[in-house]
Amino acid sequence: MFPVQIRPEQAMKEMVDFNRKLLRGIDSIVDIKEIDVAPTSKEAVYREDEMVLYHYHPTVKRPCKVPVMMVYALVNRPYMVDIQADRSMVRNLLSQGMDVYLIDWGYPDRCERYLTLDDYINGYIDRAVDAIRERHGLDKINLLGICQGGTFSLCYSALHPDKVENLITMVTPVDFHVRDGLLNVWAQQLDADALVDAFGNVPGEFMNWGFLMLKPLQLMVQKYLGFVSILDDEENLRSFLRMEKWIFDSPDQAGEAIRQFLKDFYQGNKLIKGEVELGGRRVDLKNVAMPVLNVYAKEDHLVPPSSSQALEKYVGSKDLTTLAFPGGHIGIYVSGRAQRELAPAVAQWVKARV
Amino acid sequence: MNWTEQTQAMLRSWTETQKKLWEGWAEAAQRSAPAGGEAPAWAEWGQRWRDLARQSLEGLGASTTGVPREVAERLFTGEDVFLRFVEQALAVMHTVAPKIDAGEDWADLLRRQFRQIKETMTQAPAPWFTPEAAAAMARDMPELWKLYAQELQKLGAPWLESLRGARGHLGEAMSGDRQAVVRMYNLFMDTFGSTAGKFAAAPAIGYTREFQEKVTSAFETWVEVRRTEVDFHTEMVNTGLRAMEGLLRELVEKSERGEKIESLRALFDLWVATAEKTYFEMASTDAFAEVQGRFVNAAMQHRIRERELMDALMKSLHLPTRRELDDAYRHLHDLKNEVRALRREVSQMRAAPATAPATPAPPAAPGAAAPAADPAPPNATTRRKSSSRARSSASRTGKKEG
Repeated sequence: MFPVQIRPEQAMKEMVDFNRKLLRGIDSIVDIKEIDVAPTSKEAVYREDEMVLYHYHPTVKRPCKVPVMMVYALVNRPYMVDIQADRSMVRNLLSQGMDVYLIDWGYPDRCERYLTLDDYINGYIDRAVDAIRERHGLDKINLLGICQGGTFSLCYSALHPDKVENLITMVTPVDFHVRDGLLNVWAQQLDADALVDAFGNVPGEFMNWGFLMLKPLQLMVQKYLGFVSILDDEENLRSFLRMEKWIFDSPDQAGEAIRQFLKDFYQGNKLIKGEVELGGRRVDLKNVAMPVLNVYAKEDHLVPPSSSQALEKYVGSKDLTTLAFPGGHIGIYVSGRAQRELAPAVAQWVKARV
Repeated sequence: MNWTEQTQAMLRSWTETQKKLWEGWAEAAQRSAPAGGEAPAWAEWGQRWRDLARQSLEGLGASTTGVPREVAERLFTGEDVFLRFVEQALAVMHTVAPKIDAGEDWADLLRRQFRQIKETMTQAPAPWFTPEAAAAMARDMPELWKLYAQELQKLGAPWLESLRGARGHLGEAMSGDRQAVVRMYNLFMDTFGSTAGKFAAAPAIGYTREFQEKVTSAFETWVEVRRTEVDFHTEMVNTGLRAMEGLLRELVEKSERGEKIESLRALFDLWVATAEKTYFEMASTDAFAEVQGRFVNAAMQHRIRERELMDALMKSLHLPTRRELDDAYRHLHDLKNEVRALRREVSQMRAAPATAPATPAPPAAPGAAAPAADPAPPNATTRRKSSSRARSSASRTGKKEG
C-alpha cells in the first residue's frame, strides 16, 4: 500500500490552520518590542578593554567560600548561562550556595584584531582570576569553562595550577581530530591564514553560518515551522525569542586568536599532543592535577562526546569525574532537566572538594 | 500612518488569499485526483503568497526592530521552504497516483520519477549550476570580465562619487594644475569603475600597470570563487537527490510496516529527518570538506585581492588604507601589552619590603603573560592592601546591573 495518504481536503485544512497560527503569531511578535535576557542581579567588579568581570549577588547567607568563575566561548554571549529566570545556570548555582563570577568577553572591534590566545588566557583570564583572588583573599578559585571557554580553562589550569582549586569543563572540545563532529572534519580544510587575512576579525555571522550548516534543514526551516504551533502562548514565544536573540548574537572573533585556535587546536590537535604554546610556555595537560569535573552532552552536534571524553586520557588529575548529560550542546543550559540536575551536581561536586 | 495596522491588514489579506486559493485547489483536486493530487492554482498561489509575504515584512520592518523582525523573516522563509517541498511532493504524487491506482509498483514508479528529476536538474542547469556551465563561462572571458566589472563598480562607486566631489581639493594637494590632476584621476577611476574588462586582453603597461595587475589578480580569484561555488552547489544538489532516494527507502519501509502518512507536515518532517541524515553522512567525508574548503578559501583569497584594490584606491585618495589601519592596531596592541608589563614591574617594585635592596623585577619575556591592570598580589599582606584598591577601582568602573 502506498503509505502517503494525504487527502486534498486534509491538506487544505492543514495549510489554512498553519497560516492562521502564523498570522496570529506574527501579530504577537509585532507586539513584543524588547527581548529581556540576563535577569539575575549582578555587579561589574573588574573591566579591561572589552572584557568585564561580573559578580552575581549570592542568594544564600554563607555561600561556598571558594567562588567559581565561569568562562564561555568567544563566539557566545554571557547571558547564555542566564537567559531567563527559570532557565539560568547562574541562578541555579547561586541557589545551590555557590558564589559566582562570570567573564563577559564583549564584542571585539577592529582594534582588537591582534588579540592572541595568550592575551585571552594568560592575560584577561589570569587578571580576572587575580581580581577574584584579591577580593576574597584566596590563593585559588574554582574555574568553570564552557565549550571553547573550557578549552581555555584547561590551558589556563595547566599554566597556572597554583591559582585553580577545582576545574569544571562543560561540553569542552579536547581531541579535535575525532570524526563524529562536522566542525572537526570541515576545519581541516580551511585556510586559517586566508580567513583571518581576509576578514581581520572573523565575523560572528560567518561563524553562525557554519553552525547552522551543521543541520541546515532542522535549524533553518523545521525549527520555525514547529515554532508556529506555540506562537499563541506568550511565555513560550518570549522564551523562543530569547533563544533566538542569544543564538544570533555572536561577536566577531579576534583575528589572531582564531587563527591560532584553528591552526593549533582544530588542525594541529596540539592540545592533546602537549604542543600548544602560549606566552612562550608549553601547555602540558599533565599539569592539570587539581580535581576535574568534565561534563559532556550525549547528543552534542557541535562538540561530540568523544572529543570531550578524551580529557581523561590526558590530564594529570587523579580526581577526575566525568558526567554524561542527556541532551545537546545548547540543551545542557536551557533544558528543564539541566535546570533540575546540572547545577546541583556541579555544586555538590565542588562543595565536596573545598 | 499606523504600520502595525497596515501590517495586520496585509497579513489578513494574505491569509484570505491563501484560504481562497487552497479552497479552489481542494475543489479541483477532489474532482480530479485520488490520494495526493496537484494544486491547479499552485503557481498563482505561490506567487501571490510571496508578494504578500514580502509586503508584510516591509511593513514589519517599519513597525518593529531587532529580533522579532528577524524571526518573522525566518518564519516566512521556513514556510516558503515547506511550501516548495509540498509543491514538489504534490507534483510527484500527481504523476504517480493514477498509476498507483492502476496497480503499478509505486516504489518503482517513484524511483523512476526521482531519476527523472535528477536528470532534469543535472542536464538543464541554471547558469553556474554545474562544472560544465562554469567551464563554458570561464572560456567566455570577455563576458566574465563584464560581470566582474559590474561587481567592481559596486565596490568603487561610493569612492568615485567622493572623488568627483573633491576634485579641487585633490588638485590643490597634488599640483598646481588642478585640471590635469582631475583628468588623470578621472581616467584612473573610470578605468577602475567601468572598463576593467579591457584589461583582459591588454598587457600590464603604463601608468596604471600596477593597478591593472591587481585587477587581473582579483579577477582570477573571482573566477576561482565561481568555479568552486559550482562544485560546492553540485555537492549540495547531489545530497538533495540522495535525500530523495532516502525518503523513498523510508516510504517503502513504512509501507512494509503498514504505517501511513496522513499530513503534509508529517511528510515534510520525514523528509527533513532523511535529508539531515544523508547530509551528515555526506558532509562528514573528507571529499565534501575539501570541496567546501576550496570554496571558502577561494572566497577569502578573492576578498584579500579585493581589499588590495580598495587599498590602492584609498591611497590614491589620500585616505588611510586597511593595511595602514591594521598596522596602527598592531602597534596599539603591542603598546598596551608593554604598558601592562611596565605597570606590573612598577607595582612589584613598590610592593617590595622597604628594607630589601631595590632590585628591579626581571623584564617580562616577549609575549609573556600580560600583567594585571590592577597589580596581582605577590602575597597575602599585599593582597589585602591592593584588595581595597581593587575594590575602589571596581566601584569606579563597575555599576550595578541586573
